[in-house]
Amino acid sequence: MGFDFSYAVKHFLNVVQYAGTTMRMALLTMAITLVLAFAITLVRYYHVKVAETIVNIYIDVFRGTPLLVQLFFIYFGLPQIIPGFREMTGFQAAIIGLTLNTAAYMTEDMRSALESVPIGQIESGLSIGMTDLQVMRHVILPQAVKVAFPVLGNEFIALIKNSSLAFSLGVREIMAESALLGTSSGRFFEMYLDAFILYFIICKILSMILKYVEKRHVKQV
Amino acid sequence: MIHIENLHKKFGELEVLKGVDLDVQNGEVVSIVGPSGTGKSTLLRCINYLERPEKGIIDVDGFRIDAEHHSRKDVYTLRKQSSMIFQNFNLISNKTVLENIMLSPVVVQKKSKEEARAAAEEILHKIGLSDKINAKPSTLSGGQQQRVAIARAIAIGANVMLFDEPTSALDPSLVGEVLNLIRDLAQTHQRTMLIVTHEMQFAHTISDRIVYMDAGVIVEQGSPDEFFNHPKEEKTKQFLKFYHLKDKE
Ligand SMILES: Nc1ncnc2c1ncn2[C@@H]1O[C@H](COP(=O)(O)OP(=O)(O)OP(=O)(O)O)[C@@H](O)[C@H]1O
Ligand SMILES: [Mg+2]
Repeated sequence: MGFDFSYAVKHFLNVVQYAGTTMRMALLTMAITLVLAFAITLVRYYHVKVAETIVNIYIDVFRGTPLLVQLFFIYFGLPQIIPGFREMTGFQAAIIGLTLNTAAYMTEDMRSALESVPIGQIESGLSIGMTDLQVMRHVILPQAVKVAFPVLGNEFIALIKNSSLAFSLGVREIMAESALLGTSSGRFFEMYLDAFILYFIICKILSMILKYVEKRHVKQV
Repeated sequence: MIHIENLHKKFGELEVLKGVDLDVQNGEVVSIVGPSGTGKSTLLRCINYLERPEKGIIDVDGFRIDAEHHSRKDVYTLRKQSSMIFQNFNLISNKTVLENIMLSPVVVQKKSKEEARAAAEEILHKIGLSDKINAKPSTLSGGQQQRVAIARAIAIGANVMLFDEPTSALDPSLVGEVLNLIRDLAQTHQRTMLIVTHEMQFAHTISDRIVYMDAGVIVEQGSPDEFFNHPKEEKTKQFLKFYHLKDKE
């Protein structure tokens, strides 16, 4: 069974149809992750008692275990113990798992962005009478966002790639569709080549857009 | 007006302020001098509550804090009583000169943007930096940055100004413009000033009183003439001798 170029071409559009699911999953996860990671970052930045300990344990656990194990644990494991999770779809489980996993890494990058703002500027903000919150809003965040932007952009791209694991929870996205067509025809090479190319195109375009935005809007300090 | 009573501050095991008492009258200009590492900056930072003392009373312009019992809100109020000028200027780097000066009036004092802007423009005009109004701090010379930092402190309108070695980070050729501005301020405005400095000549001419600090306590204080020409304490004499030698070199 040789390489059938026309088969790969013919079914490329089948796979592309599911890029929407992949993107929806990634965007939704990214949105929730940004909020969650920021909240976690603030807890750590201001050393909120008790909450900081809990958050640190969570980060340790989710950075210290494989994403696939986390996804399986959430989708197949949790419903056996907690009845409320039985209604959960694969898509929802994927969002939860990807969010918890990505946030555990993203909070670290957010933290270094906050810490990149010189302490002297924070002190001068306080000394002119601003509260901690006002200093955060007017001094730290505007500078930290610029530092964080490229890093968070890369995390979004990583997220798109990681989202391919959701196929193992039965979510029909790019990877799942490729696997399905590959299995039914036996043409795995052609179908995974399609997935290969599609992921690459999506990630390449995104990284170009990010670079452009960064150049246009972020670099001018 | 500043009133400090029995102020204590430790960093871990290191006792930096060992019971400092100090009074500065309204409109008085007081310079603090002394060897490196004796707690001069720490004292100033405590008055602005950038450091938390363990014990003592701090009263700035009638607002009084007891280090052992106070709320977060007390700290915010105390900080508003004075403005601080730092060795490294500490301008907000992503904001323009104008935005830096307007920040506290708008965000803290809730003035309208128009009012804050007009006031900022006037101050910049007075100190001769009108042409830099929309510049970012990083494009200014050190001397200009420090003058903007002083403009920012003026805009707050606090009666008490705290200077922590305002010219130490400057190229020697830029020291003059900053010292002249501070001198102007001392003469024209009736502001209370506490200045930590190593510029003895400047301290001599600008101050109503010199305070000599060593190893966490105030060792001696007096008028510039008393202090420089007739020091009483042995430590002060040693310190001044060091500076005289340096001047002659
Ligand atoms: N945040 C800090 N943590 C630990 N030790 C500190 C801290 N800030 C200052 N110190 C120590 O406290 C002592 C007094 O420091 P301070 O900066 O007040 O001295 P100074 O009189 O201003 O000296 P200089 O003339 O060199 O500026 C020094 O020994 C310094 O190392
Ligand atoms: Mg100092």
